[in-house]
Amino acid sequence: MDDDLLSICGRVVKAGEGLGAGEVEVFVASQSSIEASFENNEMKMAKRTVSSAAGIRVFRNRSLGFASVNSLDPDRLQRALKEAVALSKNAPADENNGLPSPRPLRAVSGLYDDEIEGMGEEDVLGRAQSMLASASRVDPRVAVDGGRFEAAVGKKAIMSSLGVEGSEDFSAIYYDIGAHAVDGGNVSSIDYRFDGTRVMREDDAEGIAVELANASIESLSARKLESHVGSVIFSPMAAIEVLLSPILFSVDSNSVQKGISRFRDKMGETVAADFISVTDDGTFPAGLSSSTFDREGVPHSQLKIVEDGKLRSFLYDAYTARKGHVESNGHAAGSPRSVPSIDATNIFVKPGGKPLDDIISAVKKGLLVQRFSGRVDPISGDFSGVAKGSRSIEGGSLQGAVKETLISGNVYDVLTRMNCLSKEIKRVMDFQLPHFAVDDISITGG
Amino acid sequence: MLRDDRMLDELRRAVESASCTYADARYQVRDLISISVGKGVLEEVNASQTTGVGIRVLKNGSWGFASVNSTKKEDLLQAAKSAERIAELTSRARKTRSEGLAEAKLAKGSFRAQVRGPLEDVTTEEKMNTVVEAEKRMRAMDSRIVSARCSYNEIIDRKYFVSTDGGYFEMYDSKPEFRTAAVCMSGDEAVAGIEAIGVTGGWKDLFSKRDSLSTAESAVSKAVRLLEASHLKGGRGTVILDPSLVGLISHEAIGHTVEADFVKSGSVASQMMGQRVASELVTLVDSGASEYVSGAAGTLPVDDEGVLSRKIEIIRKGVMVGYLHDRETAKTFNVEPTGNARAFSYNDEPIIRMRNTYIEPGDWKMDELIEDTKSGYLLTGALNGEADANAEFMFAIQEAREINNGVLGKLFRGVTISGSAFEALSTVDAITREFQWDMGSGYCGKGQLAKVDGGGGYLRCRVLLGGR
Repeated sequence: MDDDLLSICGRVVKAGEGLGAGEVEVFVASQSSIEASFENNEMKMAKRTVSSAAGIRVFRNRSLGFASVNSLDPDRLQRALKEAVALSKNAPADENNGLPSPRPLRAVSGLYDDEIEGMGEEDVLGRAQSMLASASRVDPRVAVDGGRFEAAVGKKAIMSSLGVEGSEDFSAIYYDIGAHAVDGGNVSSIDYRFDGTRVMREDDAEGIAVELANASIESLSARKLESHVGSVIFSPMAAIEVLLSPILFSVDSNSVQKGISRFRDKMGETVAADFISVTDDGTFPAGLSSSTFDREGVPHSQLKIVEDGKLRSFLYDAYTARKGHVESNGHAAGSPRSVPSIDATNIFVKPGGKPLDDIISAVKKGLLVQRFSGRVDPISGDFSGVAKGSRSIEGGSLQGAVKETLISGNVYDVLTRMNCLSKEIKRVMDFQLPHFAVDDISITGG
Repeated sequence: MLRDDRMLDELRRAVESASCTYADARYQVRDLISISVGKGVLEEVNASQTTGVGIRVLKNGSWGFASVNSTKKEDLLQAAKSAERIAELTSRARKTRSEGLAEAKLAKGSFRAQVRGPLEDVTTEEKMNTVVEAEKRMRAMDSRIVSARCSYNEIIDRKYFVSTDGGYFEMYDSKPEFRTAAVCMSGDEAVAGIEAIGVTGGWKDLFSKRDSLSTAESAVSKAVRLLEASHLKGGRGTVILDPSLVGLISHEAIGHTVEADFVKSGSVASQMMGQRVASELVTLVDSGASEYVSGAAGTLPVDDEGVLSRKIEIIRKGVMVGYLHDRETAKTFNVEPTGNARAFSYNDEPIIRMRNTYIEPGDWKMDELIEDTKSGYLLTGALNGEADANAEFMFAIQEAREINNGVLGKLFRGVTISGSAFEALSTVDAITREFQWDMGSGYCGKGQLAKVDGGGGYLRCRVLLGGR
């Protein structure tokens, strides 16, 4: 089948060269997925999706043209190719445009699991049913709003007129669940959990369902908090939203080259507390964002982004690499349906030395923030939003849930004066990270 | 008059092949163009086409759904069979059975979006130039602009639908969007000005209020103006919300709580039917038509179950009077379906979604409203927002202008508002006469996307303000 995808790519590349397209790149994928969903404490439905897609990118005299189609039908591919070539004729030229040269690809393990391929509709329905049952069993007051379990397998391939060539099989499961709790007229805040993995042995669908159900019950007794300046411990989920997303924005070479990255002239300098190390690794075995090659056919690697608080690298694709006079480090991302964009792969934050319980014990007055709903401006670093599903901390012990509580500050400031990281780490999709603790955050009560 | 009876016949054959209570099939051809320029670089130019058929089957009180990216007769029959089998399997996994579908006014015919300047008649070159020139203008306007970004997107949908209970339609829809964002830096601090518009209509409709260059200039002026703005200290206060924020609160904080699927799972609105939930000045509506001003982005004559769109009052003069339904929840709640079942793509199943959601205008004039405000803020430009099943919301705002004794004063940035939407709407004491749609450039996400719009007049109420 891989050969089939590659030969489809080959025919389009050849046809493109025949049309005088200049450089031609074809990225194709075909996928089959089964999804089972639940809603309102009951199984909802299942669905089967068989899909395929092709993205054709051409550079004609350094001008970009791109077209995509959700089919591998030769006629429709030919039409898309012509469309891409036509667009490139009207597009402005850019000296940094162009495809990357081929580089040797190294195998990455754990991308495919036969067990996922073997799952039928009944198996997927069973997994979803089990998530729903696990959450409902925790407490009758839990109202499961919805959720799903999805199993997908597929193949993807890339080929270019410069000689890039790669193909791989992939599998993945994804699951999510949303719930709130109802006790008479008392309705808690809605909360959710999600995760995914490449291999069944790391499936933790019931685990997140139980965790969510417990959190929903806790937030029933939520109370308003007085405004104060206190310590905040960010859960891994809140840390991704508030802390990691601005870091990833700032190491995106696009933000750097546009001059809107806070890290644009900070290479080698301190950008975070000296115990913070962030690594991007697209080769991590069974990582959700692991792959043999990126969206342009460039191999991934293990890349230190921040090491002991110091900025070590930016994320490049072929375009920004050429502009920055460096080599692409394999961060072109995206589906066949759009032109490549820059994104991180699997992100790892090195854990700290203290157990979470000890970190909580050391807090006089503050907040354990489970989820953040609000605005994080990655350019200025200002964040302000509601601490969702969160609990107050007083005199070193965890108190009840809070509601209508805002936290605000500046990420880049917070990163440098971080207090500590927890010893425990948690996986959330393609992130693995600890809890982050920091003092002196403005906490506004309702 | 239908233009493609053949396609409808193919779909009909497929749904009739299933042995079931009900089935429907939807064939969708979507042509999408995206153009995006940032800092002088053409970052994206994408012409994409997506076609396929989604088939939904109700059998043994359960649903099954299957989709294929093909229109071959055998693939459609296979998909119908697959959907039927999945419905049977799902039925075994369920404790309860669907009560079936409510009777509805089903579409039988052809629908076409009102379009001035069909998008197909404007060349991609002209669309590309519009984006390139607007972005160039932004960077040229002020040396403090360090980054500018401009993008254009269009969705042209052709849809064919058939159901086993007699509904059928063919539809043409056209929804373009235009966005501009300018970023200024002051030392280490970045400040963005954003202007965006999205409509149901054509090229002329998209730029009927303001052309592309004026839109770009407005984003720059906003960014430059905000550069000089200060940060607010948090606290409860009186505010005047602009139509974009009125739309956002109506959609995000209230609208989702009255979607019947959320109501069934115990959203805060499930306890509110017939009760006073807002000031009597507030009448909150969701409509498939573009009321008051044409071209609202959520405009939809018929939904993806073939139900003709109806205008639904959710809150009438402060009292909750309606929820939003698909045919299944309408049956459960014993009401007429409202036309809110929507699917974004052929491989999405229809779920309950909003369309154009707004608060009816009042009788105040804008200048009188400001003059009448002793102390407060005029909030303009929604940045983003999120809200919960309990109607607790949190929105970020682009500009906050202080009002002191009826006079506009100092400008603030980085402001957020939050609180319970029902509490906020209970404090409404004035709404202006002028009405605008101002949410059409974005999408609503609920597992799948949907083009929606929102708006209203300017509205005065009390909320919790957040600053820095």
